[in-house]
Amino acid sequence: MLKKLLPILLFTCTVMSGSTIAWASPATFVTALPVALDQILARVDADTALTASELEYAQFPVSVALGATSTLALFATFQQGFTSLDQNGETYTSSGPRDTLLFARYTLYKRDRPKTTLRLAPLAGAYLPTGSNTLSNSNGLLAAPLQTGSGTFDPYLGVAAGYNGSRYGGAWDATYRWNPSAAHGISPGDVIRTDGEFEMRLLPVHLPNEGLPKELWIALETNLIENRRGKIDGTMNPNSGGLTWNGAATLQLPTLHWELALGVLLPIAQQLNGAGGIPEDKGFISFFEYYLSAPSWKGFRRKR
Amino acid sequence: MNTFRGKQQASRKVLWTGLLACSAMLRPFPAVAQTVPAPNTHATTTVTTAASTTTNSQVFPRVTVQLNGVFSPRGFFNIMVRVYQLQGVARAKLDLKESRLTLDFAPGVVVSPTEIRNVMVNAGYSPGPFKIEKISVNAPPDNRPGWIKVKHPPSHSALVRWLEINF
Repeated sequence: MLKKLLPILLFTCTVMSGSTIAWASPATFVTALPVALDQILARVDADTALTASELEYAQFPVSVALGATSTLALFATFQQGFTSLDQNGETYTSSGPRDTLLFARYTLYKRDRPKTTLRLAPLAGAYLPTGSNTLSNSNGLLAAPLQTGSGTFDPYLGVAAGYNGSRYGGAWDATYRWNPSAAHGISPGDVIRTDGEFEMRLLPVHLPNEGLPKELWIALETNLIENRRGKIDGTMNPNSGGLTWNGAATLQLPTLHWELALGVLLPIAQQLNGAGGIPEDKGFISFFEYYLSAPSWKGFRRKR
Repeated sequence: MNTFRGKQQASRKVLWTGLLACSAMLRPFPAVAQTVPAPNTHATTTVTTAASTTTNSQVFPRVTVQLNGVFSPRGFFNIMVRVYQLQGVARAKLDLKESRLTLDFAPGVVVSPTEIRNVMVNAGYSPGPFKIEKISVNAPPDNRPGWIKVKHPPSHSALVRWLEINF
């Protein structure tokens, strides 16, 4: 049964992402990050608005992943940052921790060949309500972009896939965040998104026969995000949600122990529901990853 | 599939012992290594044993592993996480183009093919062919690019060891 389904799934992955699928290091999503047994991956993202607009932000999500087994990886993403919104001649700001994402990913299928590798992994988890959906001032609730959380425990499901070669690679995921309605405050709608990444090694053009050379990669990414209509105090808000299609390009510098990426996020198309929606603007994206070996007590026991 | 289990292990040990003994009688070290297919194992896996009359402290094992699915520094790190936990590894050579890992062990260390295979499996990769050689400590130093020293912090504190390995 699984063998029959796999080609369909993989074909769907390829079609939906619009690019080759792979197991690389995307900048705009973390679900496809490769994590091995006894490996800890720590990653800090820095995402800011690139140009002055009515909505400005600086977000610094910190992701930590642990390889619990050779096929099971546990992820946690702690988000925090600042948001500023100009509205009716006034500037409103908010800051602090946002909702925390916890999920587990299981590698259901893998195929390692001398020249290519392929992974397919479903994932499941939840957003914990560590942010707030009731931030307000003397005039009432702040606008939705200024809220830092959903106010509810939000189940999160998805699937990630990756394909890698020595010169090209890529990654893909599709996720669904179910946002139940909170009794009070602003509840965002469910979020359905799919992300695709294609990456190519720029330097060195030809790998040396031996050794681990310094490398420079370019990665092109695309994100299609559908935000369903949200609610305010339990009542549907017709002026919320919409469909957003973003593109991103980053330059990545990977080494044995860390990786650094710098790039830009460009909105390609947006269709916002109702009136008064705030379109997304160009942004600066970057991340720094550091790979760690998980603590091992085996040697300690042996020494005793 | 490459398997090292059950009865196969017993027969392999007998064969290895026999081969080592015969080789030792026929050729003095450092004669050209004799390559034999590992009995009842993956067709492409070979175990190379140098004919030797020397003691274990005069030779060190060198394991060359073909890695499937490793095309990036990060992929090598996934493997290195496990290599840090192998006892007796002195240094490792990472060859990105060939997707190949070479491990030099300390003189006298006995290398288990099963343990080497588990390094790759536990890192999440399918094992490729690998070979085990015995190199004389008096052989010319291998100064090719790609060698890195494998840290084995001596501290009894797991925290200190962890810090020393990772930073």
